[in-house]
Amino acid sequence: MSTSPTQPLRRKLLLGLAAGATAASPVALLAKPLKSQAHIVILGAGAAGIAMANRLRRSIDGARITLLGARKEHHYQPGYTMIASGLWPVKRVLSSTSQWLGNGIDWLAQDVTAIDARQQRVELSNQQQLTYDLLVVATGCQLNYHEIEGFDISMIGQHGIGSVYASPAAAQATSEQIDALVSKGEGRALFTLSNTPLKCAGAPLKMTFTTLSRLEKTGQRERFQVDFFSPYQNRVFAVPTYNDFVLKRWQEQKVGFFDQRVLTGLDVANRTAYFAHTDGSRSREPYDFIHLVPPMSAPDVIKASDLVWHDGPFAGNWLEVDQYSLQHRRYPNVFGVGDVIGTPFGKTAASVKMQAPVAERNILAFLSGQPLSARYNGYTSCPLITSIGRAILSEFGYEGKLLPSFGFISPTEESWLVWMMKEQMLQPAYNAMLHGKV
Amino acid sequence: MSLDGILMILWYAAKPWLWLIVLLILLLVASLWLGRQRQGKAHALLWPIAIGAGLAGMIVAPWFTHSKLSYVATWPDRLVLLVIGIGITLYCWCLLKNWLRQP
Ligand SMILES: Cc1cc2nc3c(=O)[nH]c(=O)nc-3n(C[C@H](O)[C@H](O)[C@H](O)COP(=O)(O)OP(=O)(O)OC[C@H]3O[C@@H](n4cnc5c(N)ncnc54)[C@H](O)[C@@H]3O)c2cc1C
Repeated sequence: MSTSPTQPLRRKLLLGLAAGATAASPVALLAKPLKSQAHIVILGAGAAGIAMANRLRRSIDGARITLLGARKEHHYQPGYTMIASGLWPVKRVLSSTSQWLGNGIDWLAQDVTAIDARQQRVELSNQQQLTYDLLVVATGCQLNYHEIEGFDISMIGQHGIGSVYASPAAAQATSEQIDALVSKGEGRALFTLSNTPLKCAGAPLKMTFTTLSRLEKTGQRERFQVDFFSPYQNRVFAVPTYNDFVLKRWQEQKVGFFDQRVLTGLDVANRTAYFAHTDGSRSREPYDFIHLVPPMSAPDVIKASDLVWHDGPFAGNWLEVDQYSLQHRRYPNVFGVGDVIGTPFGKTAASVKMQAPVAERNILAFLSGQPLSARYNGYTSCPLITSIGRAILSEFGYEGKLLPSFGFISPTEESWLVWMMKEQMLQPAYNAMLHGKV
Repeated sequence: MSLDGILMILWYAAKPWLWLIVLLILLLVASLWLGRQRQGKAHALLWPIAIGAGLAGMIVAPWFTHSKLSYVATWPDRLVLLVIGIGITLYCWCLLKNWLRQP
């Protein structure tokens, strides 16, 4: 951990007060609430922000907890794939943000427009300014669709364009575009991948697999051409075990695979996609249906702040944190949880489930002046749907190490049980996580 | 994953279905209570009906989850399907036991 920038005196006193409140170990700290008068501000009222607010509310007594985020509707994003595959209605993923928040959390329905980490201050969309003693950044990913030339997010659901990531409505519109392709009885479907870290990096693969299931169901699969375009060399997924499985399966399913190609633009009227190749050349590909994956980054407000990584692979794009403690490397009173953090893995709701208790423990340790002992191992998981009705439980961590949770479920076998977990159990697990209960 | 965690997730998964679980339990209790006066030995068809219901349940369970029987491939898949079949069989047996009696 590097040196702390100067902290205003009031905050030093507050943190000192917390430090004096207990001398117990972090484990003991979890047993009874820590006493602290710190003002904890959480940016982002999504999966990670809500989980952190509920956890900190329970484990800290006396602190003021302010949750910031303008979105009043909560979206269960892992369900988007089910909607876009024609299996779930949109309403199954919708709820209200307020219903997940326990008592004693001040939720301000405002987005943050600027962060001054040195002054420990954030500015809100209504121009209000808030100071904090401790900041938790949980603003998720920003979808940079604007980097695809000729494309606008409103085009999803028209002209054969789909994209599962944008919203529940976009997922529904994507499903309708796939239905249109199926009804046409023939055509070419293109699936793309962007060259940035992605939230649920399995989602583009799942969309390919579930679309294949829908095309196979017509009994005339041979009338459709399905092609996948990846920016990476011979790679569609970071973990070799799953990458090899997917590429082999696609070969069997006669999916064309084009690597080292980045989608740069669309000619929407003519249903043509433009790709830049790693060797500098370009190509244009006609399509009847295209599934777009936008480049992603931390939201602009993080990128414009001093909290962003200054060097390394995440420079300028993602929140700088220590990948194990989740504490900011230069601002010790800042922690990051969820999709926004610049770590090698960790952009799934299942990752949030593991990160939240780690960040909670380390925040308690920080407030009481103890060493930060909890470690996040990079745990990332998504049931990799390989057909409508079966899936592989892919679970891994830093260095691509497989981290299976259940000894009896093979991490490499397709299974109905894993599909059921995705279909029936993942949402309850997610809900329990929001309440800070798992 | 810890046992606590698994139980908590199962609880969250069961919550939306609590009404159905309660309904099935009430149905069972009512059936056992109301039928307790009936005399005679168990009907010869009791087991075949209960096993038939269990088998039917096993066949439709994958379909119920947007899947299909041919995707029940690993041993945990088969075990889950078997548990579903045995559960339905026993439930039907208990439900019908008093009503299907022959003098
Ligand atoms: C299609 C799809 C499929 C997925 N499938 C799976 C899966 O199978 N399994 C799995 O585990 N995960 C899956 N995920 C990933 C999972 O949904 C995310 O990892 C999880 O939601 C991350 O939580 P988060 O809080 O970091 O981000 P989010 O839940 O996106 O929340 C971020 C919040 O921050 C808010 N915000 C943004 N900017 C600001 C600002 N300036 N000020 C204040 N608030 C701001 C946003 O409005 C939002 O409410 C999937 C995601 C998608 C899109």
